[in-house]
Amino acid sequence: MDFEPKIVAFVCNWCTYAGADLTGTSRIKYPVNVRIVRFPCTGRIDFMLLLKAFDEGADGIIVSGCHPNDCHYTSGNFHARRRWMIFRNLIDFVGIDIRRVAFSWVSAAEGAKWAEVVTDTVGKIKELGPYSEYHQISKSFDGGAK
Amino acid sequence: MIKAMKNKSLELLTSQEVRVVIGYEKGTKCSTRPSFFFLPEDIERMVFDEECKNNLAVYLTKENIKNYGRLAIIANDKTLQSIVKLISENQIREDNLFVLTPGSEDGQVIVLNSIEEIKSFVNKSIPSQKEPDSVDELVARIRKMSREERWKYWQDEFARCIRCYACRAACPLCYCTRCTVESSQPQWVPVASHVLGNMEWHIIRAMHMSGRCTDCGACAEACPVNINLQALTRVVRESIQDEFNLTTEEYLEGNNVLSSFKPNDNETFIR
Amino acid sequence: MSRIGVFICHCGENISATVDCERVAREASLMEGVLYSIDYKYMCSDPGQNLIKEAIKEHNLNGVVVAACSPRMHEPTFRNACAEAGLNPYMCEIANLREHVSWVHEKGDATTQKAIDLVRMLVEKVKNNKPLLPITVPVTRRALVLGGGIGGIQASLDIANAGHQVILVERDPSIGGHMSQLSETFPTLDCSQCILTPRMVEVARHPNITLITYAELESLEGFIGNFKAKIRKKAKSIDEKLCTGCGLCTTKCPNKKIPSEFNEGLGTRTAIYIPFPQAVPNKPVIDKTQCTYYTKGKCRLCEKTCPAQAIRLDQEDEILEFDVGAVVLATGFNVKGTDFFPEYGYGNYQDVITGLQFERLASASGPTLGEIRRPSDGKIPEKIVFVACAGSRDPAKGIEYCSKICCMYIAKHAMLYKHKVHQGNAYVFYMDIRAGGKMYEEFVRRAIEEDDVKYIRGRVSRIYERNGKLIVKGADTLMGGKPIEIDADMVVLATAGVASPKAEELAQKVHVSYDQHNFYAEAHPKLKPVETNTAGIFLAGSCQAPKDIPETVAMASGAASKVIGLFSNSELKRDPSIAVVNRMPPPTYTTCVGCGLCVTACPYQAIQLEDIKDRKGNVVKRAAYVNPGLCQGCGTCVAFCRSKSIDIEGYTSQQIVAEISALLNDE
Repeated sequence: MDFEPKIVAFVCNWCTYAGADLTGTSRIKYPVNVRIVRFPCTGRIDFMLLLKAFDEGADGIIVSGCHPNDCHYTSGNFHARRRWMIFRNLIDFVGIDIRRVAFSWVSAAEGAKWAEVVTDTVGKIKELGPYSEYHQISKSFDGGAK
Repeated sequence: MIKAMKNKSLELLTSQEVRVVIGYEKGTKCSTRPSFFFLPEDIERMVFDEECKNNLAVYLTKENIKNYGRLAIIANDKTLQSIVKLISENQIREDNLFVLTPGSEDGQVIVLNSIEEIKSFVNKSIPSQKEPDSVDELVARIRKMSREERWKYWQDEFARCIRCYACRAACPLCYCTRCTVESSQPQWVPVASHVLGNMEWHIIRAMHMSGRCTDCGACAEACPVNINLQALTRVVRESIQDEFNLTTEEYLEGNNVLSSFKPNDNETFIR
Repeated sequence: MSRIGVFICHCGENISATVDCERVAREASLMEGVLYSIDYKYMCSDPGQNLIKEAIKEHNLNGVVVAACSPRMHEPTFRNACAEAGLNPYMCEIANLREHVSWVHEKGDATTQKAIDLVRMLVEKVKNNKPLLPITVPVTRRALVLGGGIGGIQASLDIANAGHQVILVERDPSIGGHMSQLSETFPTLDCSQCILTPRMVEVARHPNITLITYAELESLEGFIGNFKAKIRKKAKSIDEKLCTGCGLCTTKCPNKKIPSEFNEGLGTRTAIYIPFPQAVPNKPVIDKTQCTYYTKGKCRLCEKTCPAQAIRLDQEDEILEFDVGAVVLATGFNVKGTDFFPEYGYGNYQDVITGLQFERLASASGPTLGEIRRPSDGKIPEKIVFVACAGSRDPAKGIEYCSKICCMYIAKHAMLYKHKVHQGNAYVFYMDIRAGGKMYEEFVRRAIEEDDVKYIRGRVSRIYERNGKLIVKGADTLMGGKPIEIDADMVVLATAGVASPKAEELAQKVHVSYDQHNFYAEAHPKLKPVETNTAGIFLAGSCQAPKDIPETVAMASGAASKVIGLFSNSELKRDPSIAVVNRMPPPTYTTCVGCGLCVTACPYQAIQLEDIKDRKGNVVKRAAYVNPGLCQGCGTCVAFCRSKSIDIEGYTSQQIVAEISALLNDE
């Protein structure tokens, strides 16, 4: 069977969630692999949740919110952007595959862009294959949280 | 200088201006170790020299030390920088701290006892350029590796971690009374000593240090299995420097670099 | 124990065409904690909603997941239905099976599997939900309006006419603002004073308006509905109750050579002065920085002259305190002075003036009684040049934006000049003519076509004096950049509109955001133009960006309607999805260590550090506190908190981690 990656998307309620709604309203198709988790704002997206997603078996992660200056809460995305920058550099240094985390700005009007972001990410993760490296260490650990 | 340091400490204790002096004494194996001086006669034990490398600021946020109220601390450069960061994070509020630190002249001891004095002294004494050290060499070596090699390198390192949390205990800025790893709802990190939880713990620790770490190296120094933890915090500090271009003064005293922003921050990695 | 009901909507065929809804319902019924699950054609219809309500009652459900269209569509509908059945509305969550599944994927197992995953995700979330109650905040129905220009006047009158108390604070001795300085107004050329002064008088007479002039905001504390304002009322050195406003003192004051602010320095005033004849209140103040008594210790001529014995030289500043529920900022703008332009003579040429100075020259109540006479020698200029975009739209000058009003007032100025000096020549150097607005373009065309104003498209590179003339060097870009030189008698610079000098200081006092030019930032550039990101503080007029009178008035009425809306209830109900800092029994009290990172990160200044006290009143900890009146629920603070001591209701870490875990573990 072909590899069907598991991808979670962490998106803000006001821009990307609404943008993904528009993708639906416009009946634009995209791969079924992505599951959206709704957040009030990208500012809310804790970097620990990204680790959690890999830990639980995600092969890829999409993080998306409002374009700069469009944040419903004016500056949540600006804070998120700084945090992602540092986090990305750090996990790359530790050897986590940052190609598996896609960051994007998708506004409520960009239904088509959302479909592109998902399609491209799914394509890329399919090329990369399952994130076995990480999942192996998750699986080798029994007990604790799960 | 030790003479002046001892005299000043004695003076503060005798006049009861402080109830304890945090300083150094001779150790059994190591050359020096931290020590608390409560009585004037204790001062005799005090030492202070190049070997006194511990960052004593770590004690300032401990509940039982804070209960003493007025206290004095012998501060090397690392301790001073941590004190400034602790001030900016509201952990040292009252002007009830005497900081004793060596001055530029031989045998001189400088006494700082207001938050403003401490800040301005540290700003003057921070060296502008730093010589590359062994941590820089390690960081450079790891950066040259492929991603797979980096993963392998750190997996091997993290596999050795015994989750003793000595890194946390030694760090002056790890002063939370309940650490993230101890939160059970949700449980963010598996607590057992296993490479998964170990890796996540060290990533979280380095992230929680971002914009805060003063690069004193106490974490790596404390690690019983010699994981070079300073490389992780150094990488975070470097990213901040490269991306947001702050002066050391802004870094130490200003708002935390992650709890502030500029509208035109770099976003080349965002689609 | 979770007793969850899952309701799968077919949405006609919108969902069921690609998702096997019956299978989703079946799978849902097997999920742990799910007691009841059913699919139905139209969940949002009345019968569909009744299905939910009855199931809640019959099965005593304590959680509901509706799998239907986007929560942005029907979350309120289904939450209401739950509330009507006695279930707390925040125990209901929506799985988005239409926009995020059926409409974007083809029919198939994988699509149905995704629908099941989303349902499982929300079931796990609901298990971690807890009932929330709306937050209520009491509202003091009194508004504070800062700034007594046309914006502040309009906002005050609207709020006062709706029956609410207004405190109107003006920095200058009189209300009226820039509008009172204008001669005529575009595009109708009606006299500014004639339309403004009745409003000013109405403000003074209005029983619901307390007018405080010569005063500034000292401090503002609190939050929406519950502000405490301190106003510094500067000493006017007169007893306002006794003063009749006869003005005798101003005629006797020996200090007569002070440049008049009202006349933009083109006229003079005395040290005790009424800024202009129609001032409201029409009573003088003593300018302490100029008065001989205050500077040299003697004179007191006004005191001896005053028939009402109203002079109070020992008067001191007063601090007045008010409880207010809302604040309107209407502090206006300013224009750059001619000294800002080295290429136009650094302000050294007396006959190079600003547009605002020209207003005074053209005004019947101005220093020349409305005759256009140049400041240097009082001669009537035969050739006059108007320079548009002086500073504006010039990144090199640090002002990238368009000041918006200049194109129109230049056309007006040129017209007024031509109406008064028939044989004169008027030239306008412009970059573009921006005349968007009702009757605006027609107005500019009238200036060009009927009043023969010569418009030259190009910028002015230099102005210098030669033989008593002002040589204006420019280029005509429509003639291929042909150099143009005009020997003018007078030049009017349409200098850039900029923020008031104290705008930044005030913004920091009241905690509203401002842009790099110190103009105040609206909460949303399109949909919340009069709100700020501090709840309860609203914007009116050019403190937000330069704007003309109709726009200012419209914005002021908009801000007033927001205030009136807020005052329509004695309590304000707010969504409880806000941040909270944990509190625990002693001796822990809270796990927050008070580092304050969340305080600086919060976009709404909703978090502050507070002392936590034990029963005896001793301070045991300093920790973050979220003001429920200010928090908007973005959760930025949560991501910052290292010890996870702060969390956001409705999006708690526990809920989100449960969602992620449920999504990715489908076996």
